Amino acid sequence: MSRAAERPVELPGTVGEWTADGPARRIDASTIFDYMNGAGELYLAYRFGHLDVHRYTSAERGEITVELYGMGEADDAYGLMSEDWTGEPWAPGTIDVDSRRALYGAGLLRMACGRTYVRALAAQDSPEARDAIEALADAIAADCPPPTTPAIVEALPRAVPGGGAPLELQPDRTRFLRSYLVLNNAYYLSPDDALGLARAEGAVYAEYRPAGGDHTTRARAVVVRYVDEGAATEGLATFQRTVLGDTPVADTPPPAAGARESGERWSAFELGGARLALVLDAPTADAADRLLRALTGAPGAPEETP
Amino acid sequence: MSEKKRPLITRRGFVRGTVGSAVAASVLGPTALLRAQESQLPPDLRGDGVEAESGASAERPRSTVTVVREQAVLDAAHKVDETVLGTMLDTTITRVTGAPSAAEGWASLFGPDDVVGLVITNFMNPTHKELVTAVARGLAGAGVTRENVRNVQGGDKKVRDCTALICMPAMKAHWLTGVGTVIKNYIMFSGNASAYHRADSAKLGEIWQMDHVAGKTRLVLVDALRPMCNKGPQVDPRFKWDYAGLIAGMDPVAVETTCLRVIEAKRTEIRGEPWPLSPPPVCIEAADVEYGLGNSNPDWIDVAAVGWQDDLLL
Repeated sequence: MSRAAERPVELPGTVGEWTADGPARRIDASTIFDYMNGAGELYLAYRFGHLDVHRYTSAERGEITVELYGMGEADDAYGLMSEDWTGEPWAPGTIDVDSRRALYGAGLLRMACGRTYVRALAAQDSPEARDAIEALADAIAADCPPPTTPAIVEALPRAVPGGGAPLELQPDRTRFLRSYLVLNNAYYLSPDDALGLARAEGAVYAEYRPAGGDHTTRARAVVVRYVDEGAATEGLATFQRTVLGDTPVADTPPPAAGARESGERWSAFELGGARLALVLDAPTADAADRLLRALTGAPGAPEETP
Repeated sequence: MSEKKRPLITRRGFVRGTVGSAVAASVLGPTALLRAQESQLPPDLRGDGVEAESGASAERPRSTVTVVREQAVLDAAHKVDETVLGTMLDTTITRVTGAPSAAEGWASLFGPDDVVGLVITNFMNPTHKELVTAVARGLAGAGVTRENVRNVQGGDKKVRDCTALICMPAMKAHWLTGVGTVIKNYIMFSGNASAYHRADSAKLGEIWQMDHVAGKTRLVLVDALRPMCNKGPQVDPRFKWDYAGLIAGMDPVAVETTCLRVIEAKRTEIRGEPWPLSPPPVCIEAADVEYGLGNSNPDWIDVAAVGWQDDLLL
């Protein structure tokens, strides 16, 4: 963790036509539902520390609300960004535009700076509000550390050859997560924690499809890094029982790898140590197999280096 | 609201319906499709009733949902024209009640002895205050005194004194429950909101049957002026759009189902391919199958669309 990421953010008292409406309001895990009932779970699904809410008011142009979420690690801020990679890339402060760590659209800026996740929202979008948010973003991102990507995301194969057209990673459908609630928001598996993500260090959901392919050619990947091998084995067993519908056989360990067909779509799984790789909703058995091999370290597969 | 005896539809039957198939076939993958068919609802909420025929059933009353839209209700800055909104509300009330005038429509629903609770969305994409004002005006015309029109959102105590409720949420998707509009609007009346989150969101319909809530809802009036089709409840303005509508009826499940159709259609429009809500909004099906609050099958819902027809999404 860089010292810059620890630095308390100092925001200006006035920006354009807006003036700060008193000191920031501090929200923690015990009060987050008072502040945002129904939305707090998203932040608690990562390593939420606290939230500082700054309000700026303008008699003519409404309010700008700046929310600074202090997360446990930079990976958590990345995970919150990964909810939605769309928007206009910005380059406030030290953030590089190509990193996509600052995205703007229709009066809302979302930004990851070290372990701080930022939402700055204008009640009324306007060029003046955009300028004000830009100035606030510059202040917040004055010395952000270089952006990092969670290792489990970095290790995803960018393309999976074979089968005619290679399956290509869809960067805007790639999500880092730590909770089944976030996984269910990306891709619904089960009402409960079907992968045992409560005992995971982190996981990634990603989509692959061939160039120019429509949604029917899509395959989905989930890779989970558990806290230990026991948690991984338990996670796979829960998945097999609750999602695949397998019946456990007494004194027989469940298979560590396999594939299934249902409704003309394919899934596959493989457990290796504390790491579980899943392919879901693949259009063919071949696509499921190729993607799984690419995810699980077959020759040529990328290494996951923490 | 709906106390009549109706044949239940099973989970499998729901999956074959329009909403269910959209949810199951698109949100759920190969293995999860099987789960959806068999056990998407918690075990204690799975319908084991009589499989209903597809389409209208002779024993099942149809529901009507009124959609009134006027493009001019919002200006370029999304500000509400209260005159246009007032006319839209008048049309909505006459259509929903079948009364010859809005005043008679309000009077058919509420009277001077009523204490009316307005159950609005308070924050994060709130119900437009102009709509709240227009509703209060309609109630005043029906003889409901000013002190007997109350915002009762936020807790279970305030609703206990009410003789009648108007469910009037703003329309939005919800990242935890799929959709968070009508059925979820009463969550605070439970006195234990956290008990209805996550997997237990399927039980949201139960709140409508609690003693201090049951039978009080006389109108469901959804603020669809500027709905949000992704990420809710936190606001992302890129996913809000000027639908410029009011969606209303007497059947909360049918109104919610209609809202869901609009939201799903908008999402498909944005991505150019199916983009179903995730997680699937199981509270809608459960409100129908388990709690008998109304119709969740579009085949049993008549949508009466009045006014601006462009981009109706229905």
